[in-house]
Amino acid sequence: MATDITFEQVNYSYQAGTPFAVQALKNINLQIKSGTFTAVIGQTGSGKSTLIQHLNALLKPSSGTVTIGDQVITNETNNKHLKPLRKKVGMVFQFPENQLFEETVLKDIAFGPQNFGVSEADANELAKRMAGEVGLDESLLSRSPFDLSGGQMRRVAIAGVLALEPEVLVLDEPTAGLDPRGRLEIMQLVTRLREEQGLTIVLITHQMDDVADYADHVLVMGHGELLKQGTPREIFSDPEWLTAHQLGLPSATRFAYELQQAGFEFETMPLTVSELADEIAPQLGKGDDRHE
Amino acid sequence: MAIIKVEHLNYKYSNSDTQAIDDVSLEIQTGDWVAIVGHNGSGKSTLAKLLIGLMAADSGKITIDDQELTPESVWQIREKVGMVFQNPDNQFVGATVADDVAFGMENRSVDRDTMVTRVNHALEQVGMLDYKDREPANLSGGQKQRVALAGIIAIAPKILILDEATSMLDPRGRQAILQVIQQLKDDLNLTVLSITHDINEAANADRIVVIDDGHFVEESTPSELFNHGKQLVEMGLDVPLPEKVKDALQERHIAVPESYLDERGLVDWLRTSRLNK
Ligand SMILES: Nc1ncnc2c1ncn2[C@@H]1O[C@H](COP(=O)(O)OP(=O)(O)OP(=O)(O)O)[C@@H](O)[C@H]1O
Ligand SMILES: Nc1ncnc2c1ncn2[C@@H]1O[C@H](COP(=O)(O)OP(=O)(O)OP(=O)(O)O)[C@@H](O)[C@H]1O
Ligand SMILES: [Mg+2]
Ligand SMILES: [Mg+2]
Repeated sequence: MATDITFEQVNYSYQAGTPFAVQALKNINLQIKSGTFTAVIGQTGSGKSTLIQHLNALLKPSSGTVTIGDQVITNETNNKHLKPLRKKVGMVFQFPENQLFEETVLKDIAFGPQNFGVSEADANELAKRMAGEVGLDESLLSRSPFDLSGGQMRRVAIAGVLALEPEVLVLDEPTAGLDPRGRLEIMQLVTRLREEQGLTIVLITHQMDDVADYADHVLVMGHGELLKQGTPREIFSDPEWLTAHQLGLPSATRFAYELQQAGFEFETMPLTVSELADEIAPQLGKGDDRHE
Repeated sequence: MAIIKVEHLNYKYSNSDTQAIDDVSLEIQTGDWVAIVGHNGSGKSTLAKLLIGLMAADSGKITIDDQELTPESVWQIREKVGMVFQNPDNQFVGATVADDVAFGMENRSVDRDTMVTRVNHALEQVGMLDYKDREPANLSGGQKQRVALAGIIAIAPKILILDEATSMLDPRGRQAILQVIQQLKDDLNLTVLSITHDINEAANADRIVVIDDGHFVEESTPSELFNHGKQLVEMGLDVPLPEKVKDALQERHIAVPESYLDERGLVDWLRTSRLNK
């Protein structure tokens, strides 16, 4: 299942043609290869959510084209033809709580698959499995989705999208409001889906540690433009540039710079705690015999 | 002096069989910044809603600024306590950003001119002045959170309750806004209760209250709490970076100090250890 994604000269304006028009995307050109893990970063209001809503044609470009697999989306594309795309591209919105609507948690998670023709019984099975995957207790399945804590609602919303079994999984700050265990569980789940089933992952996040730990490609947005793209190592190799764009470093990298001040030497700047430890262990007392 | 006093508080949602708040007692001192932490579903938001009288407790007593919270006193108490909710969409009421920020002052008998000044000032503080005529619904996620925070900054109530109010901000934006609130708190001797999963935010608090499954677990300073190391994950907080680094070094057969070190402390220890090689 090749679902490469391409943006060509994409512009997008909200309320186009009115005095209130806001241009949120400016001449975006990019490619996301099938099966990759792409992180989208950038400061508040930079256009990240606008960008990713083009991936299932929830927003259509004001001009330019978006291609997802063999589907081409332009300003002219008719909504009638979008159902297969909505099944192919699963989207967890920034405030997914606002999308919950069913009577019970189980029904809410099972709604998507049923909408795409899965039988009620199968959809319920799937829903139960996905609820388990996102760490929702069984006892919550019969509850109204509105009678949950913020983090629990978020898990329901994520489970609902996973139950669609999409080929491309798009997540807009899915772990905001999750506790660290939940955050880790979701990130590991996403990574596993990618490894086992070849899903393409697109993740918007402000957590630079997650970018370093999981992504293989990074898109940096700023004021509606794609400012830079590259591997996490390329993106995080220029702290001054990041600071100038209100972005930060992974915590291990930031800490490595402090250690550099304290006399440590780094061959390559580490992005993760494990890389950091690899670099400094040999420079410490008792570090010599560490290799078995 | 304790500005908030909670005694043996209990609350159960009618459609649930477990206590969401289970015999919780605690005191918050005037002028403190207190972080409230706990895993998802542990009862943090429920506690916050009880404190502003959005729901009535089943039993127990809440005293705020020497006044007991009762159905009669709840309106007076809400003038002293402002809250930013976990999901900003649940709290927007104004047609424009400026109206929305002004709304909280309307019930607080502030005259029109002061109101305009305060709205502009608050929006400027959160970097949203350029957006004052926009519709709140048409903002990005982080912009919505900023506007919600401006609403409470404009009022500057004696007690600010922030329920994960910065969860969608970029790291620098979050720092900047927390600084704005810190400054406001210091200037006016306000009290801040901030519900958070963010370790850096918790680290900057004066005290941290840990809630677990509706129970009060402990109240301590950040450094006392961070001594729990990996157990912090059970408390809904991440493991601090120095602890992660120590673990990774230990896996590489390097003996590391057992007690909690903050980043400064770990840099110092590593520097010495490197020189002693
Ligand atoms: N429905 C809308 N109508 C008009 N303008 C909008 C709308 N939604 C977003 N915008 C504007 O478009 C710009 C980009 O918004 P977008 O939501 O894509 O940002 P973002 O990068 O996702 O930010 P955040 O990190 O805060 O979520 C912002 O300036 C925002 O105010
Ligand atoms: N309206 C409601 N009806 C029934 N139960 C509820 C309701 N709201 C919350 N609960 C339950 O009460 C418990 C505490 O919820 P609360 O929202 O206080 O948690 P929280 O600590 O704020 O969690 P989070 O970090 O996920 O926001 C949870 O188990 C939740 O499922
Ligand atoms: Mg967004
Ligand atoms: Mg909550």
